[in-house]
Amino acid sequence: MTPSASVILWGVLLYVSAGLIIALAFVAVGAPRLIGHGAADQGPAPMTLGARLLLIPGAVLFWPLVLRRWLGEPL
Amino acid sequence: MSAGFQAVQWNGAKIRYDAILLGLVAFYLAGFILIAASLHPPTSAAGWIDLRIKAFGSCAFLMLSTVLAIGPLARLNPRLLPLLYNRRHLGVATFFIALAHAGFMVEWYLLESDIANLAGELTSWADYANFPAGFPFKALGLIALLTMLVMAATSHDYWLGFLTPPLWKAIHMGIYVGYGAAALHIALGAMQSNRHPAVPILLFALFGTVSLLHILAARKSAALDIGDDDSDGWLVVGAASDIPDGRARIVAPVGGERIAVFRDGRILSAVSNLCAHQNGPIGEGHVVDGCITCPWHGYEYRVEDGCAPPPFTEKLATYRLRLRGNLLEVQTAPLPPGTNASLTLP
Repeated sequence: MTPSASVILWGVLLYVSAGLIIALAFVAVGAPRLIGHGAADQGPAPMTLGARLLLIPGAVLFWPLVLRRWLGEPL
Repeated sequence: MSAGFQAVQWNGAKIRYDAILLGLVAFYLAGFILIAASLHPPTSAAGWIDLRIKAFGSCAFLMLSTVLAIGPLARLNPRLLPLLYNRRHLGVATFFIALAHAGFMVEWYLLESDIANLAGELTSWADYANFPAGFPFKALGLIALLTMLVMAATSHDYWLGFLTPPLWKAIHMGIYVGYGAAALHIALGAMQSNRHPAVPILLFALFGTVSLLHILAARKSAALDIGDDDSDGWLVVGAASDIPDGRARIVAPVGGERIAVFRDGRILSAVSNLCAHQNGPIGEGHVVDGCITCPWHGYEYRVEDGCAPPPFTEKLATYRLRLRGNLLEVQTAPLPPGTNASLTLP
């Protein structure tokens, strides 16, 4: 494998690994509290296990945004 | 509508849609493989993998073209709106078919003990300047696949709320980049290795049809915009009686967002033309039991204030209306979402 291919592959692996850790914590704890439907006064949105599992790929891809929102920053 | 979140909000229509979709995909793949194998029987394991690569790749491009054609088709002919209702399942299915296509390609390289060459092909930077003859067309396929991955991964309604509709919509417009990359992937790949005229004919027919439908739909939408922006920030809609009962007239200030002015009997109201769900063209919907109903997915908002009925929480921005003689006018500055700004005719 070429050196540049190795660098890209390791970069992707690191990004996805970090994303997976954050995504799992997010769907377990943060997701219901972070919806943007303007319903902050109504508490966390009910969310089934199936819905949480479906959110994992998106949270892995967009983990920097997820983390940012979770830390209270705007997108 | 989203009082809470489930994996999929199944109903009879979605189940029928998905059953037909899966049936058509299975029919296409089986038909492609059977016909191709009978015309040119593969003589090795790699040959069979190659056949699957072509079957799934062509199926994915056909499905992606269909996904992109449904929006303008539904705008041009409202009878096709049921196709749009569950388009996201078609989009997610397209991603999985494209993923299988890529998976078979990796399987082919593994069988040939040549996987290092695949990485080498994608990172031979000098070849990227060698367009079109030596351009690594697989990189274009990878771009298309990654684009579809982003769409599929964020297709759940949750992401629409989390990312906010404008950002979600902007991300999902990326599918056009993916479609262009997929078309180039075929033009520089399959079209070069297979000199049969059917490949370019089908490619250009699909790409041309999708492009033409978008142009026609855009022209139709532009024709809906009426009214001139008045100097005092009010826009003429026309005579209130000209708005069909239960329907809307769509107007747009110069450079501004479209506004849908609905009439429900004697009640008039103006709301943003963008549905809070997926930015669907709500002004092309109609009023059912006092609620404006989006033509895309049936999201409902009360006519008088643009609020979804409880327990739902979505709201549309509303606009002030006034009558000047016979003419109805709408103020171009939006009010906070959910503000009651309806007008009752005498």
